[in-house]
Amino acid sequence: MLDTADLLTSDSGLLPLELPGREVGRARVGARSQTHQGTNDQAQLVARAQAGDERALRVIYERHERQVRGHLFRLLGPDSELDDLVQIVFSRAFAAIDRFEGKAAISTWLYRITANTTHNLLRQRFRRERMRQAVRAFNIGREADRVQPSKVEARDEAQRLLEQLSPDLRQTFVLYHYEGLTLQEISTILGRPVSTIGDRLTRARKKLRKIVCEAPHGLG
Amino acid sequence: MGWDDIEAVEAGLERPVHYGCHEFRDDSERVIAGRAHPELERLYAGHLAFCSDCQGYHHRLEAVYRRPQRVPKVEGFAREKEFRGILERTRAAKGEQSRGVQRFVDSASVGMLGVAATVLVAALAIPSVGDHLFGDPIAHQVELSNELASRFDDAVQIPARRSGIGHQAQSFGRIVGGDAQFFDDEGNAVTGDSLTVGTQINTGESSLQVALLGRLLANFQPQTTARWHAASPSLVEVGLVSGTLAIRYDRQPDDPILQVRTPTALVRVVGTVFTVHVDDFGNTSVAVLRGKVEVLDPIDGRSLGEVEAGFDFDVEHSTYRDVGRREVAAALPLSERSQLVVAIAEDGDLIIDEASMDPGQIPQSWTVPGLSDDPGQRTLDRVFSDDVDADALVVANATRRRPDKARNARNAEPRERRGPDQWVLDELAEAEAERSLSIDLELERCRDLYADGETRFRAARCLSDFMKDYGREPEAVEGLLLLGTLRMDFAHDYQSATRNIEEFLRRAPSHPKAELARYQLVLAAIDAGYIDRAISRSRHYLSLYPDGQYVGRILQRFPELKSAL
Repeated sequence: MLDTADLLTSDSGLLPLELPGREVGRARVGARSQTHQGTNDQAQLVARAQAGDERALRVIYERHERQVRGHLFRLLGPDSELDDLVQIVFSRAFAAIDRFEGKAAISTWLYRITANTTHNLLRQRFRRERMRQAVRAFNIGREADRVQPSKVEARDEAQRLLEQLSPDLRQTFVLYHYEGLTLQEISTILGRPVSTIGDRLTRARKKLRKIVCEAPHGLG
Repeated sequence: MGWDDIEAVEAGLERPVHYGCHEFRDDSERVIAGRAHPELERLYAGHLAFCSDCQGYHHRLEAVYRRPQRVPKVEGFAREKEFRGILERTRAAKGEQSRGVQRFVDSASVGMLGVAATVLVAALAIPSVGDHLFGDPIAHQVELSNELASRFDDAVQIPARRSGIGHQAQSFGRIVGGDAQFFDDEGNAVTGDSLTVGTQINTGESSLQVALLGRLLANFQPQTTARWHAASPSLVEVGLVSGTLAIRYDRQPDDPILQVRTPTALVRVVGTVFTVHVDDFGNTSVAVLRGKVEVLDPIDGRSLGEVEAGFDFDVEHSTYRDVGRREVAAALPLSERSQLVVAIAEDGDLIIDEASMDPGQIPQSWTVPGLSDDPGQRTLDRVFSDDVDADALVVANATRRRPDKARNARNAEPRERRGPDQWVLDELAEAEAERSLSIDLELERCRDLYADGETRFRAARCLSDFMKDYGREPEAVEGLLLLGTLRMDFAHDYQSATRNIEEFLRRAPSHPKAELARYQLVLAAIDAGYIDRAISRSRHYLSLYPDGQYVGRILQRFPELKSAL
């Protein structure tokens, strides 16, 4: 079992993220000058975007579109509203670009907007999922002798299991395990103390273990 | 692992370690995340091998922790559409915000008007205030930076092309070659080599090549009628009424989208080489040689089809066929010449790398069905043709005529009939005349190719050969100007163009075409997107040639420079 301190120091081969002042330990060593240059570049880009330069907005979109789409996909799974949500996230970001102070990286800021945009949606779906679960309990027996699923089905099954996490736990789990962010970064994005984020992650893991144990049909 | 087990291990006893389902499930997350000790992994694997319940548990949990890899991608037109959609939503969101602000603005506007009236009175009363307020606009307001410029020699700054359209001076077209009639919005005939939005183009028996915005090259085939509809940072639109139009567009991410509007279709382009043909009945066909275009309904914007490279799309019948010789022939004058590299060494020598593409060769990047990948086989006469008229468009490879030394053999008088000194002088004079004639002949041949719209794209190779043979001769200096112009017009390579033209001016500052060269430098800076450089070069031009023949064209692009005269 990992505690918060364990989580803070653990490293599971995560992705790099552009966040000024982030902790060392995730392939950022030796890139200080590049980071400085990148910060200047970002400041210029944001200044142009705030002045209404459409080209700057396009650059922001082209640099971060994959990040936003990927995060939404990993959070929601295959979803018919995915493209619409990408547009909503970027349009909210562009509409609020005047208020972006540049203290955090654009990617962090977009993660925050994505989290805010999807929060209500996740809550609605979570409630719906609980209703479905009650109905599904009647069908457990029928699916007991299910055949070995393919990898795609396993992925869908994993997504269904993930959907049973509450929105806060799910958001934290996805940001940590799928997006590769540190607890500090997640804390900045969600606007909660690091200890809260660590606690949520621990609860998410416990809950997932329980969900997997109780899953009515096996994959193996 | 219990205390008994641990004590047994410490005592070196062979007692088996208890590792059951409970321990297995406690350690699963740690093992899956790769943070488990090797000994623990061994125990875990051992349990996994025989416990079927735990196998299912392990696979389910592993699937949850595995990062989804296949994220859906959005590319090409869909990406462009999405960005447009985002901008529309942003405007809508800002519109809602601004309505709230509007009330405040209304009440403040009365006060602002009072302040403005006070400032106006002050400007009229105090001259220094008036000059400050109503003087020339500051050039650097429209300029971003010069970071992308590379340096050459001590004085010459060579700009790389900037993407996007950032100044109104860039929204002009230049006639690169060929001949046509031009009419303005009101139907009045216009002349000159600059085109503005709204110009109608009617080609007669010859074709016309036009460079638009410095990143787009259009070839209007004979008997074509078209109109330039729009040029903005987001959109360039050309209307094709009848005839054939071939376009090469080397688009960068920030550059505008190109649309060709015909009576029955709207061809939307992101970056490609393609032709649009409107026949006598108004039917449209779109052929693509590189990249992809989208054909839309001109009325409601509905997608009629997407045309991939190598296909010709008939809009009326919604049918596809392979591109043929007519389409390739129309686009061939737009073929890239990027393989040609002209440079000046540190010691001042001219270095010209051999072009890897022969004249008339179809670029490898173009998809032409049935055409071999062998460069030697990629010629127009090997492209399938179902139209006999297209054969007339095939331009025979220009065979390079080297100076024939035998032809120039002199009917030399016997040496004995002239004095020895006179003989040497005669020899030198004749050699000089022969050399001069050879240079003139070669340059004239390149000029001939350059002058004809159909063969102008071949002049680059001719000139590169010429400069290689005679580049150091004083008479050959004009070749640099021609080469620079070609690099600018056909390759959109403003660095090389600037380099060649600067070298031309350095070697022949008082050449009759020096004025043209300085004007070309202005155009190169505009097309490359370096407006402050263009303005400073324009000022320099105006100071040297206040009554020059390009003054009007420069002032058309930079009206603020009228005060410089």
